[in-house]
Amino acid sequence: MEFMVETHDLAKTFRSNGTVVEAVKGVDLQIRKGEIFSLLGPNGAGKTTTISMISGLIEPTRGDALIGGYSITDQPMQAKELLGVIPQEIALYPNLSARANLLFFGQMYGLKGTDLQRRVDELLAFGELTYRQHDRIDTYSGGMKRRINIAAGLLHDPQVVYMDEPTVGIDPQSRRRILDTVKQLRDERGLTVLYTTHLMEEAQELSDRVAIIDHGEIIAMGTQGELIQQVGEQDHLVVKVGQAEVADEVLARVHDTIEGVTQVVYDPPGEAGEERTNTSGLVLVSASRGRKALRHVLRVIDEAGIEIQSVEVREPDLEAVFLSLTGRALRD
Amino acid sequence: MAKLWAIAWRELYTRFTDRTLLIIMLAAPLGIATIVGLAFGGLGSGGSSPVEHIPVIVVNQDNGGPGSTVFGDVLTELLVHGERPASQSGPALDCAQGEGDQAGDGMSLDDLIDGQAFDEAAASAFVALGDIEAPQAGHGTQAYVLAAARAAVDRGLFTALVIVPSDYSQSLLALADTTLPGGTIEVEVYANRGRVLSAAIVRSVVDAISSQMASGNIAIGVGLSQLVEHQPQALAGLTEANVTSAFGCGFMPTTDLIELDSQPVQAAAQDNQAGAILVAVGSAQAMFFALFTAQFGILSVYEERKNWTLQRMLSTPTPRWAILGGKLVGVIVSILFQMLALMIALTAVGSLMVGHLNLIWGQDLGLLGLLLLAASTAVGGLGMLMAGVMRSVEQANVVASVLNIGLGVLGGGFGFQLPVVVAGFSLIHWGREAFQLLAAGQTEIWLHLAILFGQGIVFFVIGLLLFNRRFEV
Repeated sequence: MEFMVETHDLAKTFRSNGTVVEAVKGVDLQIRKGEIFSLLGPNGAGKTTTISMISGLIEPTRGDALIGGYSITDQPMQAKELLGVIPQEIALYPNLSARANLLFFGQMYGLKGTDLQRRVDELLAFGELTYRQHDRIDTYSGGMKRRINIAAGLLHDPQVVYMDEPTVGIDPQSRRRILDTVKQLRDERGLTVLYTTHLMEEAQELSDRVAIIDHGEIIAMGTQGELIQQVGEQDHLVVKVGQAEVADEVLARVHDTIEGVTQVVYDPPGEAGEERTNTSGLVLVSASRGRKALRHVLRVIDEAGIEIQSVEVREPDLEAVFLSLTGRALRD
Repeated sequence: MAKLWAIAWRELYTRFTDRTLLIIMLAAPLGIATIVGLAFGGLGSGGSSPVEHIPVIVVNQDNGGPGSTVFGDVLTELLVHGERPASQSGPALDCAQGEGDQAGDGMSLDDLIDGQAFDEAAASAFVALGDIEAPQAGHGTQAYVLAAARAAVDRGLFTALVIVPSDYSQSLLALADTTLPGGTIEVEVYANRGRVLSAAIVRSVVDAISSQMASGNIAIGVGLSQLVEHQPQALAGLTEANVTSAFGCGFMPTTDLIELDSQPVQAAAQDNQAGAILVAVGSAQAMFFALFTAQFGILSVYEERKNWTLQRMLSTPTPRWAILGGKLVGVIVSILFQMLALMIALTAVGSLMVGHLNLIWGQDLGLLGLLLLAASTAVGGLGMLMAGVMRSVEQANVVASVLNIGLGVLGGGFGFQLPVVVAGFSLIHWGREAFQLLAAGQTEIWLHLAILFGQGIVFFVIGLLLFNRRFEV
């Protein structure tokens, strides 16, 4: 079997108070066995809905998803036996110990007896939390919770794991450990990993292939190299500005008056407390000859009275691909 | 099924390690029930007698017997006025009067029962006032009077209806004189379903009076038979008047019978007065708080959705029915524990009130267990229905609270009772009434069990269908 996960015309329409929202508009994906596949998209793009359908949490309005050849709509139990879900949220019972949580979810996967105990022991060791196994989850640090959260999705030794932004809200050390774990799962166990993130560098580091989803549709899919090729050899000028707003006229002047500029986007820093991305507070300029266009871009921004704090020229990357394909920064 | 039990176990573990939930489950209903028991039951005060002046109506159909005494009139007068009619006389009646009007320590029959003869005029008056609907039976018939009397009891205007049968005197006399037809005394006591204890007291009083009158006649009958056998000439020339004078109560241990009959009734009444209030209040409170336990137990599914543990469960090869079934089993076991703890505690309170062990919930432990299970299933099913109908935990919390209070009001959970035609819509009514019936020693609770089990199962199935259809995560 070449593909561990396939979707065919997978679609979902929500109806609420007379409003019809087509959240996913017929997605076709093929994910190979042993592959780390990242699904990228801004909030509201249809990423979670797609994954929820693949995981059997919601029923598709149209189409189907196959896990290891089993239809999630017609053979959900067989499909779910092959799939491990690791949600972004800490989906554990805080009043139970780590061991009790793993034992409980192990039973939900049909494990029992010594097999269950052995598997729980293995995963506690895998998460390096054997010494804290009898402590309640609500006494754990964020990184420790995250590790048990991952362990709970691996209890039944699945062939496919879906990981939804598993590094959100944790310290760099824990994040590094998780990224290494994902690669370890692929390399040592041959797991197929379906990974969602809004952090481009994570996707770039981990992914064998990437799909970009926007407005409920897959707009690009392939290896990083293939996607960058789609965009062309464009450079990206990243200008950090010192104020919260950049007028549209300024962006239009950069786009219209400077030779080689194909796209200009400003990603505002957002309100206090709002989640920041790695493009927050930046003016992003795509140009076929970036270094030549740089001084003209800086002049226009300077003439508009905007304080320039730093400037960077980036080689083409997934951020650029996303920007090029959607005309928006990933957070928009 | 292993998954279902695992979910149920986790539910129970979560519930019984949460102090707040434990307080809601146990302390609150127990506290309220005890406070009400203290307020109305006389705990620690030696036990006053809140059960008195029981409103009773009597339909006397007795046609009399061969003698001049119409025993039905005697029974009616005793219930209505607490004394025998002046026009009636005889040794049996003297003994029936005897100390029988003194129902116990300081309480006369007149204090215990507020009797009222019920005839066609009374029936018509109640119909005219709109208190009851006009019976279908025609005016001038006994059926009209009986139908009206039953309706008045059903409406709660009276606690019980005593129907003295047409052959009452005949049957009493036949006990002493085997040459007469009849012999089985059947006085029907038609009781209001919501006033089980009071009705039981009325029943006991009617039985005691009938037994007393029957004993008197048997005693006279036996005495005369012995005289006829051994000294037939001694009876020559005796009239009814001098038989009365000669025998009086001497042959008739009716006074003792009254004591024998009435004392157990009175003792039981004292125990029951203490227990009945606790059972009435406790069962309603137990059902009421069980509603909250059930609904918040089942509705924790929303909390699980928020915490993503539900999604994680749904992403495993576990069917939805097992997830909800496990929750339901956990909730039912919690409610069983909650109600059992409350019942044991109230039994202790009831025992303290009378100074000895008082099994206020009745002796039929098998039926009691079945009733507990039925009540738990009913409230659990309702919780399941709520989980299926509601769209959010906030909505569910508000609606569930309002619904529970409404059911409590309808079902008698707040100290007053509505007519059964209204109260019947509340599962609290069926649970409370069944507990009261068992406490009063009656075992005819099959209808209650059927309603509670039926409601629980139907609600669970509907809730499950709605949950499957509407609950997207």
